[in-house]
Amino acid sequence: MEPISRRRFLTTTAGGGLAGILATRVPPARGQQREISYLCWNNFAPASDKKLAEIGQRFTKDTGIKLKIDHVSHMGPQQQKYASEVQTQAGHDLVEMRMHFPWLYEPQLVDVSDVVGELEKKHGKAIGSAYEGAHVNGAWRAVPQYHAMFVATYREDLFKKASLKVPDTWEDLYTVGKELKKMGNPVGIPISQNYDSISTAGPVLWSFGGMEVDKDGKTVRINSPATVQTIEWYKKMFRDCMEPEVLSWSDASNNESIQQGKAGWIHNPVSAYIVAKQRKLVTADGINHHRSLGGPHGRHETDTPRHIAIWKFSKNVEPAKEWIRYLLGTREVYDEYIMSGDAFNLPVYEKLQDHPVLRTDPKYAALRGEGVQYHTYGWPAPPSDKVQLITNTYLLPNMIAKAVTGTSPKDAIAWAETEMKKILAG
Amino acid sequence: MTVSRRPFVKRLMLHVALLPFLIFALFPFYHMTLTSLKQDRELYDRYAVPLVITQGPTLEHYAKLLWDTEFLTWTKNSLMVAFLATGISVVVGTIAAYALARLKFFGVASLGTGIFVTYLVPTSLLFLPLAQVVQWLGLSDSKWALVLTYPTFLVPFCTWLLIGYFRTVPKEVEECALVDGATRIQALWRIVLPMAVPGLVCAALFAFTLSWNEFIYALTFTSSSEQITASVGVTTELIRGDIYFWGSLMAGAVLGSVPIVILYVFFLDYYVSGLTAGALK
Repeated sequence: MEPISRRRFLTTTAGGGLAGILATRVPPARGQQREISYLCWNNFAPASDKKLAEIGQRFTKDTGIKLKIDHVSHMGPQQQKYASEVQTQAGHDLVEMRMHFPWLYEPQLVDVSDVVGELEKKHGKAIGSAYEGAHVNGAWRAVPQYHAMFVATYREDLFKKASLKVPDTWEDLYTVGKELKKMGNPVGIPISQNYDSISTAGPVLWSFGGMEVDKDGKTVRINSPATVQTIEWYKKMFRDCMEPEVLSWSDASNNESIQQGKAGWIHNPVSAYIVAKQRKLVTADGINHHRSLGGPHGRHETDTPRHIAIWKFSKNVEPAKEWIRYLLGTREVYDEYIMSGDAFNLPVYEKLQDHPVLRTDPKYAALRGEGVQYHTYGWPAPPSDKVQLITNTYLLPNMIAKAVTGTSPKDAIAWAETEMKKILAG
Repeated sequence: MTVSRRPFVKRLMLHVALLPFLIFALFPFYHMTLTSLKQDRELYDRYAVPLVITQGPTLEHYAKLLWDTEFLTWTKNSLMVAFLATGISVVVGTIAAYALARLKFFGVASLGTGIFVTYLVPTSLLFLPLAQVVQWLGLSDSKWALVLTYPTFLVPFCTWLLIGYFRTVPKEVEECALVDGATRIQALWRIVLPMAVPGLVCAALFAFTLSWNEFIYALTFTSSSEQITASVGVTTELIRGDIYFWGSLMAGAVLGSVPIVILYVFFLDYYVSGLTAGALK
């Protein structure tokens, strides 16, 4: 073998190294530094975002992995963000997924079953709604992070003043709703194109024994006696217990209605109460929560779990998993994070359900949800892309809106059935 | 006496007739300013009079916006992006519009129509392919991505607007300059552009406003708090699910409209004449 001269060795190694740097477009020093980025939706509680940033700084200090956290606004903007990151196969390493989004982005997400397995060993099984949302076709495509479920929110002071019984079923709500409307404090359930509308229509439908699509995810089941019962219930509620403004409400309107002292009962996560408390509104003391309502087929409720996923295009899968373990795997850190959300963010693992955050205010007692079955949108169908399209095109609230404004229940249901079949066939 | 009073009455009537339009135009500004100055308690009081402040004004929403969020950084970014994108677009648009309005070459008419059609393609369709370009150029999560991509809709707009304006500038004046030995560029620079100032101002104002308000590209191509613009930052920080920070949102809307108001106040005459001149031949 011909000996290599010093000059040739230097030329070859320098040239090769430079070519490598130019090809990867990553300077060597930067290539050695571990850095991950995390795109999350802004939290309902601003303090929770601050706490996340603080925990992130500690993570960097403890592990040497630099963490960059970016936020995106709710409902809508994040879809464009996800789409562009998937399209370009570049962007953040970690991404917050809500509800059933992991089903939609399954081919783009890393299998994180190992991380979930570790967390379940420590904190117990992930709750049912988190499983429904993030466990896709036999693998965890996102790690359950926390959840925020819907609950009955009412003006306890008005109920006491008028000696009204706290409702236990949707039919009971109709009985007290009539009185509330007479008092000038109507029930506030949106029947419009927003997620709160679906979040109430779903539980009412399920409680009457109905569903949009069957468990097989292929058969449309909206045309059923249970849907007729649901529509009849909505019709009488709209007529006797609510005001026409609910047809134009946004996600924020029911919160604001009870905070302003108008609505006597709404269906919402605890955000309405927490904001009233934080902003020292006069209604804050009078607002309380009670257990979710039931019907002939049980007590069902909407849950909106949040998960953390890792994009497959990420070059930092292991450091990204390390961050998830740091945030959710250590009991002290997870508790600290949950506590910062003032009961907006509830733990999503079974052993942590009796969490200290529920004892920070007696009005959070209803969040224990005893005897309530929690589901994500579209249940009992698996949340495939098509089932999600049914949710995201607001077919359920649109069907109800048609019925309460004059279309016959039969025609409204037939319309929804046709639209759902079109989506499933497409 | 009667003769001198008649115009006054006429003028008064004219102003009275304009009053509803004035109220219609100013009401949103009045309402957002008022909302930004109300205390939360009053904002959430269903018995409060919505059109006046009854429980005392407050600056807490402005303080929250300015000191608890990165609003000043976002505004700085918006200004930088809007000024640069506008500058680039007006320059490129002017040259393109002049060529399309004055020069005769194959396909000039269809090229003009093509540019107009390009302007009609919505940003919601273009953001995905553009995201690929931005990534390829290594400009992801950088405000420079916006400086680069905003001209994709501003140039067609400026070109289209200026084509109409250049057609109103008499050809003969320019031809005189050409006969006297000026080159095309000199004729454009020394003769046409000075006569087209109202049109240029109008195009620049529109381009600036479009850049200032743009949302989808800013949302898609930038993420970090130090890179995003005001339109994205305000909604990200102050709309949290079903919780709207109305006071601070309106404070953001008031402060966000200031640069646009200032520009329009200074260039109003140019703007009006620029718009109307393009409409007549």
